[in-house]
Amino acid sequence: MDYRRNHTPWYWIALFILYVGGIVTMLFAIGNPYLYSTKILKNVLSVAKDETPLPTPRPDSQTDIPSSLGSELGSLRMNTQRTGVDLSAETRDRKWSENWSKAILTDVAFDFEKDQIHVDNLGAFVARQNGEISYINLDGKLQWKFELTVAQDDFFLPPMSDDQLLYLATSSGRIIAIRKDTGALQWHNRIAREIISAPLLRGEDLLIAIEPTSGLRAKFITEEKAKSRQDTKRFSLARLKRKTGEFVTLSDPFEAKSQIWISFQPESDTLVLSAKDRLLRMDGMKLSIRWSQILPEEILPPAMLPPGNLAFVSTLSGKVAAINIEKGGLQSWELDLESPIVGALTYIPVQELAAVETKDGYLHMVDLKKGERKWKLNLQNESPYHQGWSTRLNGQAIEIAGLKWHHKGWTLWSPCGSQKICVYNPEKGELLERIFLSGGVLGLPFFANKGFHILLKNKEGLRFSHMMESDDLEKLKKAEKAEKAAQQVQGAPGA
Amino acid sequence: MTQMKYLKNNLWEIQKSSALQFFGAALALSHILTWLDWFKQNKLPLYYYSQASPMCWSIWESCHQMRFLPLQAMEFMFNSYLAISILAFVLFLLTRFIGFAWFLMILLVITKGLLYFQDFRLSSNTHYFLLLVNLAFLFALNKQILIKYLIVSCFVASGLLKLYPQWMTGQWFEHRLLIPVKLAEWMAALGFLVETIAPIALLFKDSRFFVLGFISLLLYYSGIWYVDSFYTPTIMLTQLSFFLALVYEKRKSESEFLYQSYIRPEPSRLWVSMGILIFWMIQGLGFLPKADPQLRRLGETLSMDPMAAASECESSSFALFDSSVKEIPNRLGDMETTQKCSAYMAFTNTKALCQEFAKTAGFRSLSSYMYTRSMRDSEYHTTFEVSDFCNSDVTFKKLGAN
Repeated sequence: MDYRRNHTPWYWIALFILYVGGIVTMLFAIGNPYLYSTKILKNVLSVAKDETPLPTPRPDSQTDIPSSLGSELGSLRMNTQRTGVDLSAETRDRKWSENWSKAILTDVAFDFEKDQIHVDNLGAFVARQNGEISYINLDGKLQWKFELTVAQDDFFLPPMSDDQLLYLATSSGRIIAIRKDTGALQWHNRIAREIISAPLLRGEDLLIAIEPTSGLRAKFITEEKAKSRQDTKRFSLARLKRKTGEFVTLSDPFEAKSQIWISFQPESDTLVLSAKDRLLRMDGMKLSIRWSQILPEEILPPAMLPPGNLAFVSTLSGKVAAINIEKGGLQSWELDLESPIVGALTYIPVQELAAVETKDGYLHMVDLKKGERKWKLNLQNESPYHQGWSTRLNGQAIEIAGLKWHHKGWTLWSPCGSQKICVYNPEKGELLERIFLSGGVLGLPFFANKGFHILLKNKEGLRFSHMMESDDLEKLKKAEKAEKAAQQVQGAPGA
Repeated sequence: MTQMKYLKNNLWEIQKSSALQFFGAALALSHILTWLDWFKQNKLPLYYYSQASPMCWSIWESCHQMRFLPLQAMEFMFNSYLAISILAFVLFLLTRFIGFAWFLMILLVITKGLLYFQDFRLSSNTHYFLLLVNLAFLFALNKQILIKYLIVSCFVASGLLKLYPQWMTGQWFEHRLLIPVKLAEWMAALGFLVETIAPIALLFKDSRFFVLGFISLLLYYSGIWYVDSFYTPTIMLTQLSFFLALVYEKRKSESEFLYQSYIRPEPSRLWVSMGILIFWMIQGLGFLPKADPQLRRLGETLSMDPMAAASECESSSFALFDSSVKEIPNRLGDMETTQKCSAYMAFTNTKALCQEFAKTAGFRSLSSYMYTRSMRDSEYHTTFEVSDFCNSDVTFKKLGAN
């Protein structure tokens, strides 16, 4: 009796066997087609995915913006060649006065090491380490804020802009484009594990040095090219469409240990990437490496890339060197300035000169053809900024200053003293003019609207100033005064 | 009169069965474990309740209207939940107070329901499973057999839901144990086999099948206990213990069959058939591909959660103010893929954010983007891209997100 009760009938066992068979079939056929081979499984788990980073929102859903975004504005060292040359067609007077100066960012502690300020035709864009990006317009008023979620050790690389968009990259691998007029997000893309350069705008593209994600590397870099020591980080130059943030391609990989600066010479379509210990040249279109050089001593990037075959770098120990970019990075000449260099080189067109400031306070003018120093003078620069720029003077100013006409009015402008800009004749180092400011210079100016905007710093903090040619400013003040008087007359009793 | 008879029959079933009394204690213990699990996670129901807005269940998108109780009342309820659980556990072991223990179990189900259904983020298959067996224990007749089949059905359903590439590639084991990919894959396959086959063996009268099935499940859930957190495997093991209690009771009744009462007739088998049929029909609803979206959502809510349809997802949200934009960190980022990559979870989370920001000066709306892909997709698909998420016109149905 007991035996019968505990005995399972054969048809239940048969059904159970059928059920088990069905389960095993499902396991192999439906649930896991990869169970057969480790290789297939690994492929599925690793490279079968399309790892091309896509922008958010996707291009079809992005807000419409004009098809032409314009060229790069407020470039590092004023242009993509990193020459510090004011390339606008306009010529300037030598006498300038401050139209207005306004305190900005008074409520925050600004970190000059990790926070970034970008000045362009619309005003100043401030990107702070806590992820806050703010836009201060040309009247010094805060227009919008954008708060990005960033990790504690994350920081912004120097921003870049064009007519429509402001481009920012974070060290942790994000690139974002914000509409300059509204502060709205246009796109963002998590393209990399790490980003080590500021974005550079070239044509319709945005170029940036990144450590690609493993998937991206697997897709775009062949094993042969990727061969490297395991302990060294490999970076590549990424090309994105700057309008939509879509990833286009990746360059050959290269090693780098510090931040990379990208210089671009449009005439020869040449890219020169410079880091503290390394210089390399790439073809602009193919993004293939022509040559790469480890430098014998530490340089102060970026490399200056004026028209011609030479790139110029300054070293921390106080040397200026000319590198032939057509001959595999061969050094043409080297000049010792006897004191560590503190600022970037400023190119003086026509005369083929370059100015640079050294730690002992001297401004040196170097003849780039001969590799010789032309002159030096003590700047007594007390500003936090140690880089100058070159600008063309107008005919009247050339005549008054007694400059040679065939030099086309190119002059060197440099921060000097405590709160001044000094204008020099590059040929002889003769002081042509002092421009007085309400603070020490904190960055390069942005020339626009018959004047320039410049960031300053004094005891109270950061200031945003608008400078105008003195004659224009005088006319403007007179006109304003007259307008005010007319309004008073209109408002007076009996008028 | 009929109602009283139903109630008496109901209680009589528990009173006459030591296995059911033991199972009542096991259920009370599972409530204690639930409380412990929530307590360990920062008193999870209270944490969600204290947030400005809840994440509602898909069949009840306006659940915030039900938030009329103050937080202190919810806290009292949360603490009472533990106290009642302990009391019920003790009373089920002291067999003289079964009626009172049964009443406490009803109270426990209501308390847990109030805590559990207030926020969608609390949902899990384990809670779903517990709710079903609690209801069967409290209100169904022919409990012993129904619960037995229900537990087996839940084990099998849980196993079948793992028949999905994301589970089958063994990533779940690989990430937790840091073992070779192939070994992880076979562990996942073995897990699937154990969960789908071993519970069936528990239904066999032949003790060889039963022992094999029981030991397999015991070892499997003990292993999962080691790999994962304590909660789910412990609950599964407490449910499994019911089968031991049944064997014990059967042996006891075989030796004492002369003393059994025949005053009450055996309850109808229809309860078992209907209960199990309804269970499997509901599980099937969630998989209807082209059914009415509302019916499908109802099915998805009532059935066990499958493994995430999406194995990877990317999402970002931005709060838009009059003169500023703020990126919102992803609150679902730390959750399991099933929840993190659920379009509905992301939708309700963003809608909840709309309510939280509504009180902030200058707030206009949220823009939110979500992209997902499954194991077999090479590219991400757009789940939703909405620039004005807080607009009342934006509903989950209209988004058409999958």
